[in-house]
Amino acid sequence: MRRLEWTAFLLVLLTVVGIPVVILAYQFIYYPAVASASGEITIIARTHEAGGWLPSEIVVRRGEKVRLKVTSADVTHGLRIRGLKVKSGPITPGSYQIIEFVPQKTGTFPFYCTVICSPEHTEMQGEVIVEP
Amino acid sequence: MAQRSTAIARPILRPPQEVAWRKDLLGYRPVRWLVRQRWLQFALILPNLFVFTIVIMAGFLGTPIGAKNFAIIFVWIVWWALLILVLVPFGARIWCAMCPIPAVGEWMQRRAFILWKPKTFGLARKWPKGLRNLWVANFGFASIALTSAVLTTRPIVTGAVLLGLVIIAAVTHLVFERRTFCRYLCPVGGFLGLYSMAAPVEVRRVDAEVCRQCQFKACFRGSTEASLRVGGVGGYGCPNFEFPGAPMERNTYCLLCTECIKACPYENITIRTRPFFQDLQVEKGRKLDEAYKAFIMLGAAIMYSIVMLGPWGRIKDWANFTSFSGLLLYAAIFLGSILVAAPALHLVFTWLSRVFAGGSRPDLKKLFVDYAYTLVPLGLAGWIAFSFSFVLPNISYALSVLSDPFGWGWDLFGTKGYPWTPYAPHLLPYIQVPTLLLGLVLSIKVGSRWGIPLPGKTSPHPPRPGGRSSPSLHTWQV
Repeated sequence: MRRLEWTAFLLVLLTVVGIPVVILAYQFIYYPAVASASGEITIIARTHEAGGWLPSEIVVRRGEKVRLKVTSADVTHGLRIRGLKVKSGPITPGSYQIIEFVPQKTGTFPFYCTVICSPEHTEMQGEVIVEP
Repeated sequence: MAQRSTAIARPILRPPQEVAWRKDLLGYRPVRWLVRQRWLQFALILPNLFVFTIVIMAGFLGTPIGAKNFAIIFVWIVWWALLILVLVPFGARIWCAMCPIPAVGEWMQRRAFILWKPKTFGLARKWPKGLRNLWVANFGFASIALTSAVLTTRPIVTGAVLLGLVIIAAVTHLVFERRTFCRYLCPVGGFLGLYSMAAPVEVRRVDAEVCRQCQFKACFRGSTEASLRVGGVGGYGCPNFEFPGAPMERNTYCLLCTECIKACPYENITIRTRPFFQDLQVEKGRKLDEAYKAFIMLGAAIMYSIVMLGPWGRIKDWANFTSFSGLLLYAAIFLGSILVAAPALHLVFTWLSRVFAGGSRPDLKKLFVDYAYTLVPLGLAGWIAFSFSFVLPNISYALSVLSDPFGWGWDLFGTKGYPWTPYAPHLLPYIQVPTLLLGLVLSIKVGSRWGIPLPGKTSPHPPRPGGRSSPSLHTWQV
C-alpha cells in the first residue's frame, strides 16, 4: 500500500515538476546552446508600440553563415535588411520563418518591417552589425 | 452496532431492469471492479494534471498569440468542446471526478493520493451557513464570463486564472472540510451541476430499505473500521456533502467520484443509466441560487452569441477592455442582462402565468424558481449551439498546437504546419438550428408538465401539489 502511494507521489512529482523542468531546460539551456553553435538567431517581431524587434541589434561576422529564425508575437510583419539583400515574406503571428544568408561586407545595416503593422510602423527598425 | 448491521441483506443481486433506458452499470463485473478500485480517480486526474501543467506553462511562458498557444486552444476549444458537447450532456459531472484544480488541495487534505485514510489534514472548518449555496459561484462565474473575451484570447490571463483557482482550491481544502471549493466556490461547478441534471447517468442508492437500516452512513460520513468489517473497500464521505443514502435525487452536486460506492458496506449504491432530463422532474432541492444559475447561463449564451459572433465591432472593443468607459458600459449591459433583465422577464411571465391560471394561487417565489428549471434544456442547447460555432471552425488549431504547444517553433509530431481549416462551416446552421429547436421543445415540454392549463382546458398530467399556474404564458417566454 505504501508502495502505491509512493508511486503516485513520484508520478505527480514527475508531472508537475519533472516534465516542466525538462521542457524549460531544453528550451532555455540546451536549444540556445545548439542554436548559438549553429549561428541561429531568433528574432521576435512586435509592433513598435509593443517593443519592436527583439533583439533590435544583431552582431554577426562577415563571411559566416547567418541563420535568422523570425517570428511575430502580435500581427503580421515582414523583415528586410537594407544593404544585405535579405528579405522575408509575411511573418504571420506565431509562425516561424528561417532566413539564411552570408554577409559579404562589414558595416551597420538597418532592418525594418515591410508590412504596415501599426500607426508607428515606420519606427519599427533595428540594426545588423557585420564585424570583420 | 456492527452486528446488527451485518444482518442487513446485501443487495448483490440487483433489481431487474425496469426499462431499456435504465441499466445498472455496476451489474457489469468489469465496471464494478473498476469503480471499486481506489486508484481510479487518481488515474483519471493524472493525465489531466499533465495537460493542466502544460496549460499553465504555455499561459505564462508561451507565445501571446492565442491561436498558437496550447493554453488557449486546449482549454477554450478542446476542453470546452469535450465538456459541453460530450461530458456534461452524457456524463453529468464526470469532469469533476477528474478535474486537476482541486486535486492538490484534496491530496493534502487526505494526506494521500490514492488510499483511504480515516484522519484528514487541515482545519476542517465548516463553510459559513449563509454561504451554503451557489451565490458565490454564480458571481464568480458572472465575473469570469464578463472577462471572457480577454480570458479566452490572452494565454497569460488563462494561465493566471487557472493557477489562481488551484491556489484558492488548495487553501480552501486546508481551511474547510471536504471539497468546499467544488460545492460552493467553483465557478464552473455551478453550471456543471445545473446541466448535469440532463445527463442520462446517475449515482443512486439501490435499495431504500438497506439505507434505512444502515447504521454507518458511510456514503456520507466515510468508511470506519466497523463499516469496513461489514464491507466496502474504504471510501471518504461524499466530498461534496451529498448523502446518497438519504436519498440523493438529483445529479446537481454529485461529482461522480465514486467514493460513496467504495464506502458503502452493502454495495447499495450504484451507477445507472436513465432517460435524459430526468432530474428536472424532481421538485426537492430546487432553490433560488440554482434558478439564477439558469438565467446566468442562458443569458451568457445569448450575450456571447451577440458579442463574439455578431458583427458589432464596438461591442467587441468594449468586451476586449480597450477603454475603461467601454468596459463599464459592457459590464453594465452584460451583468444587467444576465443578473437583472433575464430574471425580471422571467418574473413578469411567471406572475402573468399565475394571474391567468386563476383558481388557487401558488406561491410566486416557488413558481419563479420552479419555472426557471424549464430553461435548463434550452440553456444547454444554447451552449451546445454556441460552442459548435467556434469549435468546428477552430478545432484544427489543436493539431498545430499539439506539435508546438508554446509557440517556440517546435514540431513534436510533424503537425506544426497544419493549416487552419474550418470544418463544415456550411453545415453550422443545420447543426445549430435543430439543436436550439430541440432545446426549445424540451423546455416547453418540461414546462408544460408543471402547471395546469388555462380555464376551460384539461391537462394530461396531474397537477403538482405545490403549484398550479398556466404553463402557456411561460411557454411564450421560453
